[in-house]
Amino acid sequence: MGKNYLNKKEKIADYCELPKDILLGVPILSLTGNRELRIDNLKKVLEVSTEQIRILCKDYIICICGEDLQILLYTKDELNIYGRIKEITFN
Amino acid sequence: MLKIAVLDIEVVGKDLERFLNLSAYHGITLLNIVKKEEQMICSIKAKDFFLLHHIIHKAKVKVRIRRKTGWYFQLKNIISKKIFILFLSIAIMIIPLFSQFLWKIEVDGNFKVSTDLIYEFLQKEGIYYRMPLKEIKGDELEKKLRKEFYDITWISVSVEGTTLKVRIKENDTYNPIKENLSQSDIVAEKSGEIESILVREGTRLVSVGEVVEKGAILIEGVRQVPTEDGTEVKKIPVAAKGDVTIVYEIPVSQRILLEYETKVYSGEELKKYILYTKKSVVNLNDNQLPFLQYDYYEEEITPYFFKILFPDFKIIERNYRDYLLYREKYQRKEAEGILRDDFHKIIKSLEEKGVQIIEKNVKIENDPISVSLEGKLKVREVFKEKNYRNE
Repeated sequence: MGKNYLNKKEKIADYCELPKDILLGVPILSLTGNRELRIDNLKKVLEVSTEQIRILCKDYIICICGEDLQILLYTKDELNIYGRIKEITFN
Repeated sequence: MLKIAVLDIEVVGKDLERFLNLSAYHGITLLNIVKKEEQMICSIKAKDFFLLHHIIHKAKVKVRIRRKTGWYFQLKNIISKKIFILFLSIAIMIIPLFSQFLWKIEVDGNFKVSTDLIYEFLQKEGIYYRMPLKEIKGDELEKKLRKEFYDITWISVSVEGTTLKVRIKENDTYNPIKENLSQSDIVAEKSGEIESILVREGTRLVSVGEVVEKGAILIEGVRQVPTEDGTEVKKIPVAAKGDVTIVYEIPVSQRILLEYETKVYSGEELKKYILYTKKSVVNLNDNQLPFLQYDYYEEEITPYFFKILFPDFKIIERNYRDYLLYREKYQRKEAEGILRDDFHKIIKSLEEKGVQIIEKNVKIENDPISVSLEGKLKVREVFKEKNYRNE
């Protein structure tokens, strides 16, 4: 049911040529090298440490692993992470 | 980015992530978040800090301000100082009072009439620094300036703020001074022998081959016109014109001692501050100088504000430099080279002035302690209508 629903929304987005992040609410990740990561459309931060930051988005949890991680900016819609990013996983 | 008011805070508690999420949810922007175990350091805008109250309660954390940054806090610190407030209030009181007086005179557009001359004239007319602005009558000054300086075709005197602005336009057409002179002579600037003389206007008083002294009149500014019956000669004053060539000698004498003293600076310096007033000189720090041999150079360090307030006062920074004198010796050839260079400089400067060198009778002489250059230069110079005796 969920899949069909998503598919439908994706189809509508494709058909209307609308950006999917607006319609589907999926996160947008902008990575600058391995030093900076910007995440839009997040729900909340689950865990913060210098080695790992876990973020809850609409459909999955994004896990960022690395060294000396710090959050440069955290607002309702945006999160900027700075540090030596080694791994990004989606659960 | 210019920080207005930012607080660096330290958050301690078990559920720090909740604190973060609640802050974000309530529209509070958190910056530079670094978390280490149960402690988290982050920055927050000062205005958002008061919104944290219920979030702290919900997340069960403790918040402590570590540092306040941004110009708002800096300004607050300054304002809290009583002296600052005192000075500020004095300044606020003084500014309207000071703006009633003249602090600056600007002269613009003058080329022929020098600024100093205008200042001098203004001073004569009773315009001086720190005088009340209401006493300045621009229209009268304009008239007087126009009357005093013929070259001024248009003038505007206005008071703008605390500045007296004198804007001038001068007569651009060429109007040589000699046209204004009723009578002028051509005078010998140097003593010597007349080689040639050409008179275009005036009466010649010397002849070729004659030796004249410096200051002697060569061509007199008088035109001799015989009367109709030829019995009398009428003298009409004119500006003398002509070319008079005089040959004269310039003695040259230069001497260099082979042994000379040179200063070697130790690098040690001592500063003294001196206050110059119109009548006296005051040493602001009258310390004893620890140097045996020294020289100094001066630099004016009067603050601009001080200059405006007290134009007669000057603060000078005098830098004393310690040095030791060492005896050194020139090689003869080296000394001769220096003398030759000096001699070439003399010749060059004469040629630049339009003096023609006819004969060089100069020789280098050596003695045990020095090298000298002795002799004479025979030169030719043309004197034209530039020396006037205005009557």
